[in-house]
Amino acid sequence: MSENENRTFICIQCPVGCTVLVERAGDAVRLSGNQCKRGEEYVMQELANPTRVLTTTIWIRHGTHPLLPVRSREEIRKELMKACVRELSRVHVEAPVKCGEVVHKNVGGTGIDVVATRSIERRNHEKIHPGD
Amino acid sequence: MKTDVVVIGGGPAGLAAALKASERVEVMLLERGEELGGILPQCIHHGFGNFIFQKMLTGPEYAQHYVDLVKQSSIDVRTETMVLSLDGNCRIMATNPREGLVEIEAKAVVLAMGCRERTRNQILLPGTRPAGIYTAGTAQRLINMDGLMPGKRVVILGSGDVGLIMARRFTLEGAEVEGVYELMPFPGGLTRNVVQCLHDYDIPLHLSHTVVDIRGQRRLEGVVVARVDESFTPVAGTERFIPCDCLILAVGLIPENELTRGCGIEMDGRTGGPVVDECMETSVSGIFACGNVVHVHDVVDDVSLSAERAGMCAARHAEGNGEKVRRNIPLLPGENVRYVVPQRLSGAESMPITLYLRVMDAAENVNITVSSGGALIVEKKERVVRPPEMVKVELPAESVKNIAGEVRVDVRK
Repeated sequence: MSENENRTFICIQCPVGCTVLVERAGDAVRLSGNQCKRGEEYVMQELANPTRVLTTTIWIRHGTHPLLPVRSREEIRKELMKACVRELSRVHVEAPVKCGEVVHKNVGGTGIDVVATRSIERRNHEKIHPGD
Repeated sequence: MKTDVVVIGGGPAGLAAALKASERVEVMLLERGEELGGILPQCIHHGFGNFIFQKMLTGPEYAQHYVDLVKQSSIDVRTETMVLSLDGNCRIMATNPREGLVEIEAKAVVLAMGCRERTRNQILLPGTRPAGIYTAGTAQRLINMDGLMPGKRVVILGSGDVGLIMARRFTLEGAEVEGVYELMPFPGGLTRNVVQCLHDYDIPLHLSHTVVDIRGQRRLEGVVVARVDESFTPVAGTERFIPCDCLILAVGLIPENELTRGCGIEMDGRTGGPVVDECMETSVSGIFACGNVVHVHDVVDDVSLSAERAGMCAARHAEGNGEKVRRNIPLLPGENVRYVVPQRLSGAESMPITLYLRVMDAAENVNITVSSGGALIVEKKERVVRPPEMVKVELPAESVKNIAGEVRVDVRK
């Protein structure tokens, strides 16, 4: 967000969903429209450092399924999301994998690890998957 | 084959119901698909379980918790098993590749078949019939479980939660989402999904819009969208052609109740599901229902909770403790209420009851009242109510005892 630009946020801290207007003039930030303190905290966090949990899939070889769903252990910066998904699209693991197991370290140079969000067993049938 | 309780469906509702029932009696869990978990394994995004686990899980993690517990339990799980029919005496005909046709006699049955997506036919979309048109859940399965991309340039019709989630998912996987078009003047999904799936990725949401034409012979070449007026009629002159190779439909969910209807169970036209009482028992004694087969929920936590109630009551019925004096007090939707679940109160067991309701119109600073014959039973205030977000009202156990006549729920300013 550039200087002297107005922007609106919808607060998602509770079902009320206040629309919060952020007016910025130089260093000063003025918030209006939020009905409580949580709205202010939410918007300030969104302005300073918006983070999200990253979830995507990676290929798994010789599993009962071709894809393994994964997540970042902690929230990562929002603008890194696309690059991290691209990085993970090139990662392959070998079955079996247990839910919670670390499958990729330091995604996008954030220092945050990526873990499996389900268990996938090794398959004992002949079907070839695109993950192999 | 004989057992105490048969649970039909191995999604979140069936898993929780089977686990709860198995604490008391013998349980068989029948699942049509190859694995347990229902829709959850393909819902790889996070935001599940905030209420039950006090933390945000992904869909597969939420399912894994229950699947692991089921594996450790005594529940007889049969996957790839399709139930063909159910009768009023809890007799089930089912089929699977290992046993062929099987007949199962149960003392109680829990219906947990979930819901299905509305398709193009059900919303009467005009135009040609090319490849490239998918429901949001199908696209979700293709991308998240099969590793296939359904298209490169995507238009999404409908702003239900799955549609919003898929707008983000397509974008992250490298496709371009041109926009989300919603017939109603408000979004169909939860606000947090509008913010985190659309605003985060600058995907436009066009309210009061619909698709008026589909073009392309073999493969989709584009759609024509138009604005609609208050009566949902497209406004002439607002048509716009959008080139795209993929149209995603997120136009609502319908409880899947073929078995329920086949059994002659009383249905509620507003929810599309069976009429149930606070034990989640249907109009046929011994047949219970829970989760999205009863009404479409916003969050899975509520599905699991209703399923535990159904599982517990089904087990008690199977033990012979379920023959209750049915008081059959109707619970009716009043002012600005589209539906209420449960639709009946039997009053047989003393237990707290959660009423689930949806409003017709958004409103602020409302008073929700539950009353009978003019006498107030419970009231609750809400700052904001909206049609897409379910409202819950707790009825304390003792409050049901003294109710005589029909109960109504009103949402007033």
